[in-house]
Amino acid sequence: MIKVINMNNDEILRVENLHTSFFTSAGEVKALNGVSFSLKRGEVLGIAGESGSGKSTAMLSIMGLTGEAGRVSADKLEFMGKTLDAENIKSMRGKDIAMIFQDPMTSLNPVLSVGYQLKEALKRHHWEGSIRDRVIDIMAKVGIVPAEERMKQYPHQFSGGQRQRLMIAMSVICSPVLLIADEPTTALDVTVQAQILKLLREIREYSGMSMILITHDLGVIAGEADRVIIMYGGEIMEEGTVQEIFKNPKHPYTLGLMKSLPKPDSKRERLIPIEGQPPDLLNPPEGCPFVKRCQNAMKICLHKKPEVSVLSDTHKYSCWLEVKNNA
Amino acid sequence: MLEVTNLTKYFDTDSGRVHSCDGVSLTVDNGETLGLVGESGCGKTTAGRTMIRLYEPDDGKIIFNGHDITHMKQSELLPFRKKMQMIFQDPYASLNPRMTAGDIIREPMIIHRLPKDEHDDRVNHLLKLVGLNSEQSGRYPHEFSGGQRQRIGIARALAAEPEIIICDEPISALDVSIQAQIVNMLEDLQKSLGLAYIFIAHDLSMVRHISTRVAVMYLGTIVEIAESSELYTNPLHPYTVSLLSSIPVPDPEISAARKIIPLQGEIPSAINPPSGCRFRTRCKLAKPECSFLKLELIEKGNNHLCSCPFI
Amino acid sequence: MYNSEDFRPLTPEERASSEIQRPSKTYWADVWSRLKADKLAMLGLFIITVIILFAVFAPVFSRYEYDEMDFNFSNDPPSFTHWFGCDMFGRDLFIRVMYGARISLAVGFIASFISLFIGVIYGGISGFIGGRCDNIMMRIVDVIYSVPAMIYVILLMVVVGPGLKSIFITLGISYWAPMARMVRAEVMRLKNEEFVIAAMITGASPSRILFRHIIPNSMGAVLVTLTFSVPGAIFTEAFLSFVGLGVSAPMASWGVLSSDATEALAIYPWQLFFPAAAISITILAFNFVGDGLRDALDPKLGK
Repeated sequence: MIKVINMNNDEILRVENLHTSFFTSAGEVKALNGVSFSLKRGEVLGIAGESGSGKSTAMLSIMGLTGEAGRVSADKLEFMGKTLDAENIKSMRGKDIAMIFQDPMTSLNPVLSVGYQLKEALKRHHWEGSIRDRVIDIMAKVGIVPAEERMKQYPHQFSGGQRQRLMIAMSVICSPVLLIADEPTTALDVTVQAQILKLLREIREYSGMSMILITHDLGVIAGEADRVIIMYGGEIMEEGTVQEIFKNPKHPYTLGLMKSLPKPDSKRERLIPIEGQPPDLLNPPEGCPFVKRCQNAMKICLHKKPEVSVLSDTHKYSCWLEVKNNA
Repeated sequence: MLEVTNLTKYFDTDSGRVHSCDGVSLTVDNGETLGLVGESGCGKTTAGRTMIRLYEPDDGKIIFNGHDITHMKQSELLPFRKKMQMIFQDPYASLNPRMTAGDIIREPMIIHRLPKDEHDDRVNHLLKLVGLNSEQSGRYPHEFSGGQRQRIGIARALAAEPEIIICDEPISALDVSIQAQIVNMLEDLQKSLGLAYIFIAHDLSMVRHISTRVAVMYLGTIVEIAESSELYTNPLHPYTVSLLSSIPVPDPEISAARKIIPLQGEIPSAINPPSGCRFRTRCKLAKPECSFLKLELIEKGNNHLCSCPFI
Repeated sequence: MYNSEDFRPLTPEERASSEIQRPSKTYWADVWSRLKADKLAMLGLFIITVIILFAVFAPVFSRYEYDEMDFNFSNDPPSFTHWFGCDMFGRDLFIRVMYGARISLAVGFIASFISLFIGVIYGGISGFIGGRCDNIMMRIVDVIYSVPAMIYVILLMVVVGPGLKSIFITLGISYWAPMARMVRAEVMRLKNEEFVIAAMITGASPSRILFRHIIPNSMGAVLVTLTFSVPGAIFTEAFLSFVGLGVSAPMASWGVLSSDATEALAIYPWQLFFPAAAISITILAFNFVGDGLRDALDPKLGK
């Protein structure tokens, strides 16, 4: 388990030893297995991982959105000093913590005008001040102009990129402290992706909000995040600043990911993939979740969860290799 | 081997005629990989599917190995179907959930009447070729992971002994760590079987890696074709320049240093595409004459073709 | 703290041993295991089985015949000798309800299977060919669907005469329309699935595509529609019999029994209660199974 050493007043989110399971007809799926991290004000935390790594589940667990089949437990789940229980999260969701998803249509109601929906979001959270001015202001900020006219339109009258902008407008309209963006640009083309990422950057700059950016695209993480968490099989493999992760990756999985990407400068050099298949969450290995695909797997990796090795205040990773090298 | 000229395909919908693919011309040589990139709705999938005669072309010509297959009847096409195969994007949707892996791979052999006694051996051989084992032939698609399903899809494509495979976004639905496995496998198969690929994708860095030449599509037309390294280091068309500048780089320093050249506005509708140059509504270099110019791909040296006459 | 054995690289055997192979399961086995977890669906299935067993065996083992009259017991209330009581002719109501089950269930199943047969072929062809042919075929369905079942019955009564046969024909004619629509929609959807496109590109013949790829994949939805159409047919038969257009005496369906009982409803309410309860329970049971099947076939829908 990772313990953060310096308690900082700027810290807005703290998660310790988060476990989430889903009960399905096929058995219990352990989606998260002891995940701990924290987030400071204004910081962008990138969470990278493949499908099934638990990156989205972690966020849904924090937001209390795991549904009936999910069981969430954690030693600590605090946001702005308040424990995130079912009661608290309800009043914070959409106001203090907002979330955007891959598919913008999940948050836009097709039969209501976008202006109405934006106004509703403000009213729901008792916005003080002129609701109409705020809606026009936010629509202009996300680049949907002329706002006065376009707020009368319905979601289907906007293009995919514009809907994503609207969804961002909807989520930041109450000035949240934290925005959780779950694969916000995965469905978009690269040119639109660049626009959306730029927009999110601008919003952060003037509002000072923090962001958790979940994506499988390491390129997006490298460009946007301050700190990075690499997840695999429901556990955190490595955590560090963006420099530490990209310039000095330690965990075999992080290293494998970096190597499997095509290099922009090389001439058709053969890729080095991570062999094997993603982990089966119904039957997770006792030890390290990555053991089956790890080139350096040792006997201890099969049966024992690796200890966390601390390289710096910010850089930590969970692997027996480090323990072995120090022994 | 494959020569496509002025290929045009439109779809009539309730809101009007969608010009999905409008005058696409390209060639694919033996054993090469032609990358076909562009953003969603640019018609790259339609172009691929029309080339393989899944759709009836509305105009243009498709010459395959010297035979004009543009308007061949389905029965005449059968021998060519054997030679042209396709790999799909969604490993979940591209395999029939009610058939076992073995039956899926066997089907092309049945359709093309390969001797029955060879089927089982060939299924096992193909499974091995794509990195699966023969015991898995009795399993159903849902028992495989995404990467394994894509392997089954590739084995099915190989079963007919094709010469060219159209890969329609074959890796975009897969995890990063699996993508490299599939790309390596496609490259190995290309070498050992002498296959040609048309690699349709929106992941521009992977296209650069796998392709010998790359064609860039915008709103149903090809705006630029060049050798892969030439295109990526020296893009000419303003659209290509913008597109390539937007690729995220997995390196924080390069990422911070690079300059993204944003595209203005939104992509116009394919129902009423702009006249003349399709890109003129978003182009920084647009001139009045762009609205009526009849554009053709112009050789700019180095086998680099570009549709913009002002570069 | 650690010994060197801990840090020895894994042998290839150890690597392989960590691979867990789950037993292979076919699609339908998977559906069945999900359906088994659905308590309501299993209850429904249990009720249907019990009703079918009673319908088949109760008349065989019963002391009474369905048309055996005994005026000593005329309008008797339920008792140990006559579990459901007797009707005005002193016929045992229990055995009559069980006989009614035979007829009602037979009507439900046969009408559904006729609709299955016509609907799958008609909808399959319409959806698969598409275009103008599809347009014409579906307009015909619209016309058939828009004419009330009652009109068919009355017409058929004139031509064939009342009775079971005309009920089968009527239900068969009017019930396949929704099935055809559903199958057509499924075929239209499946036609654009990538695995069908893959088969087309390989050069598979239209019949191969339809029978190997499309129809097997639409069977789930067909089964659900079928499960929902059985109670529909039972209810329609009950209704037709209730208004006097059903089977004729001394045969009895649940509808006929209900109809007969209404005359003396105020005095002998049990005479209506038992057949009406049988109709309701059966329809409810089929709906439970149908709902369960739908969820089991599409696991995303449930949770």
